[in-house]
Formats: sequence, structure tokens, C-alpha cells
Amino acid sequence: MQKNDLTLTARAFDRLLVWLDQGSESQGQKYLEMRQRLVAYFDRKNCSAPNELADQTFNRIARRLEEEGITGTDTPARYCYIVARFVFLEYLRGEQKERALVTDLSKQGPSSALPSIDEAGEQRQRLLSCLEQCLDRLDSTQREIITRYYTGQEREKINNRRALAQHLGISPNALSIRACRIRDKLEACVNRCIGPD
Amino acid sequence: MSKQPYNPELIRDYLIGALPEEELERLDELSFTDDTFVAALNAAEKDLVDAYVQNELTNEQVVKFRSHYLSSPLRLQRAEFAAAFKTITEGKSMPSDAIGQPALRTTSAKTLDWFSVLDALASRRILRWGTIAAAMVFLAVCVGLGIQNRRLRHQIATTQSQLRDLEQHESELSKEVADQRSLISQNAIQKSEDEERLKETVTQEGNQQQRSLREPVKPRLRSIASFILTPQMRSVGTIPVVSLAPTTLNVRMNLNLEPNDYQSYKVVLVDSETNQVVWRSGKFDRQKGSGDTIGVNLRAGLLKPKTYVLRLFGTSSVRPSEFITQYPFKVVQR
Repeated sequence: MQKNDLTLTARAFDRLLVWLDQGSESQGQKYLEMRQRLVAYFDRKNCSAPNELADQTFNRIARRLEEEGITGTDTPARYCYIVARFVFLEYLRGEQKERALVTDLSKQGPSSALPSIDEAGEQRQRLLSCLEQCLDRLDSTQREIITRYYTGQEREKINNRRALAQHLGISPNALSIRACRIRDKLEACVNRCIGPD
Repeated sequence: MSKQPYNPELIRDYLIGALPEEELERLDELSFTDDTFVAALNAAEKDLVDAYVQNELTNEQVVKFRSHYLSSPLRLQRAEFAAAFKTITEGKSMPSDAIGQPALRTTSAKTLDWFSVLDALASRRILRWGTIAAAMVFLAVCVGLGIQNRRLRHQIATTQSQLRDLEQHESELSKEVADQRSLISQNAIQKSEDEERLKETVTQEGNQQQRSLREPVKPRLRSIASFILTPQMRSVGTIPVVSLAPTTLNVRMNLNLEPNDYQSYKVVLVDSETNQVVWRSGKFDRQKGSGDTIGVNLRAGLLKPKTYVLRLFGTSSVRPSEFITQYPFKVVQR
């Protein structure tokens, strides 16, 4: 069995949550945040399966916690980064082998047909439809924030944001965080609506 | 390390893979350890994608964005989301090249789905050319219709002109009919007058016969002398002689016509010595059953013992009068 395929036991997972919280009792929130950062990291590195690599990173940390325990001055976040970096390097080595294999296969001909223009058009329409549905599900304040925050170009957009922050009585930075969360929520809703396909 | 060792431009370069390795690793680490940086990175990424969708990036940034950022299915999905979001919020159509071509293709199934979006976007170029072609066809059709419209207008104008000509011709014909009726009535009056004169003459002759028993014989009064003139006679050296008695009141010249397509005529009497017009006729119609002859009535008083010429003209409603032939004759008094 390879390291990648190891699954977490309930005990190992609980230990991982406790380690990430560092006594703050976040009820899994720290785990979710760190997982999101791991996925984003692997995605920025153009890894083909960032979610799997994030889980693999956690698995490796949990195994270390179970086997040896983690000592040292590194924070959980930094330790996660270090392990993620190793996972990424391993991924790169594995991908080189896989790419060679794909190259060999591609010489034998195309493995699958690309979707037709009609299918792509349908997907786009579906995306728009889902987006409209998800926007409707937002409450009016959230809808106003996200539409006003992301409306306009360059200077106009900056002015919109400044006016919106004044209107809401919050700082531009707080508005930025709030708008990003709403957009993430909206994007997640759209992805659920579209489905895994 | 400063309190905030990054700025929006640095984060943008980080996202599009434009940083050197050392700087890249530093920001990688911050993306785990610095909550503020994570928030800034999250916001900057959305702004970057929006800027790309709204064509606000420089050419260099666009190239790197396409080759690096869009090489990930997840980020490609974000860009597609941004384009759709722009469509919804601004009510505009999705930019034709909102999502560029990623540099690398991965083998995951989901990646293929996103490539379908790319293919669709590429097809927009085909659609664009299709639109141009359709516009050209539309333009050609418009030009064709314009030409046809112009031709029809010309035909309508021509038809209207012909209609006006026909109406004018009709009015002229009506006028001619009225003239002919007037002439016929005049002829009838003339005829009745002639008949009356003839009766008077007969009566006078009867009286004279009664008186002749007692008085010497006087010459008889003749009212009408009739002659036939043919076209052949005009070129002959000897011209026909019209002999008129002193008692002749009217002279009828029957003019034989050469074959022609005129339906009406005019006749002019000319003194051949002075070449002056002595008399002009009205319009004569070629009447059915009359053969190719028209009759010209002249007062005998007009004719002196000299040579005259009757000149025949053909008339038409669409053409000016044309000279057809002439009938010379010599008048002698008996």
C-alpha cells in the first residue's frame, strides 16, 4: 500500500483537529481553513488533483502525529506548508513519469473526444442559469454587496467600493473580506448546481 | 521582514507565475501562515480574474495569465465564473475571449469539460466570421432589392407616362370626332343648300322653258362640277384640265390616293404660278367603304383660269403632318 492511499482513522483525524486548533476549539474550522489553503496551494502549483494532494498532506501529518508526534517551534500552518511542499515535490516526480506515459498513449491516438460546440454552449448556459439561481438565493444585502463591489472597471470599481464601504459603515478591508466570502459562497453554490460532471 | 512584505502588484505577479523562485516560496509560505496575506491573496485573485475578463491586463500579463493561471481547471472555472458573473451583473454578453487558451492540458475528465468551454469560445470566432458573412449576404440582398425597387419605380414612371400619352391621344381623338361631326353637319347644311339651289334652278329652268316660248334661250346654270384626279397624273407632262362653265358654283375634286397608312388627311390648294396658298381644307378621315379616294369640295369662285396644285398631307396624332403627294390641274373657262 502506498503512502498516498492511507486513510485516516477516526482517532487520527481527531488528533489532527486538536493539533490544528492548538487549544482554540474551532470545531473543525481550522481544519477547513487549512484544507482550503492546501488546495489553493496545490492548485497554484498547477497540480491536476489539488483536493487529493491536500488530503494526502493531512494524511501524512496525521500519521506523523500518530507515530512520532510533532515537536518543534513550527506552527501548524507552517508545518502544513512544509509537508505540502514535500508532497508537491513528490507529485512533480510522479507527474514526470505520468506525462511520459500520457505521451506514449497520445501517440496511439486521442483518448477521448472533446465536447461539441453545442455541448459547450449548453454548459455555458447552464453556468449562467445556475449563477442566476444562486444569486437569487443570496439575501438582498449580500446581493447588493457582491454586485456593487464587483461592478465597474479600474477607477470606477475603486470608487464603487469606497462608496459601498461608506454606505455600509465598514472599512474597505472589511468590505473586501466580506465580498470575497460572498463570492466564494456564490461560486461554491454554482459549482454544486452545475454538478461534478 | 516588514510588517506587510507584499503589495497588490506582487500578489498579482505571484498569481500569474511571474515571480522568481525565492519570492515565490516566500509567498507560498505566507499563503499558509499569514491570515492577512491569505485574505489579500483571495481578494487579489478575484480582482485579477475580473481584470482579465474586463481586458484590463497588459499584454504581458495576459500572456502569463493564460499560460500560468488558466492552466488549472479550478482557476479556469473561476475565470469562467467571473465572465458569467460579469454577464449577469452588467447585463452584457460574455466577452468573446474571456477565457484564454491554457498552456498545458491535463488528463482529468473535468479539464476536458473546461476545454469544451475553450472550444466554444474559439467557436465564437467562427460565429464572428459567420456573422460577417451573413452581414455581407444581407448587404447583397439589400442592394439587389434596391436595384429591383429602382427598376420597378422606373417601370411605374414609364407606365404612367404612357397612360398620360394615351389619355392625351384619347382627348385628341375626341376632339377630332367632334370636328368631324361638325364638318359632317356643315356638309349636310351645304348639301341642303345645294339641293335648294338646284330646286330653284330647276324651277327657274321650268320658268325659262315657259318663257323660252316667248324669249331667246339663255345658258343653263350648273351648280357642281366633279372631277377625278389621280396621283399618276401629277408627273405627266400634260396636266389634267378642269373645264368650268360660268354657271358652275362648286367643284368637287375626287383625289385617288396612293397606298399609305394615314387615317386622316389635309389638302391645300396652291396657285402654281405664285406658289401661294389659295385654300386649306379641314381634316379628312379615310372612311370605310369610300375606297382610297377622298373628295375635296371647292367653291368655283376660287378657281381662275390658271394652273393649280392640290397638295395632300397625311396627319397623325403622334407625328406632324407629312406631305404625301400633289395633284396639279389646269382650270379653263368654257
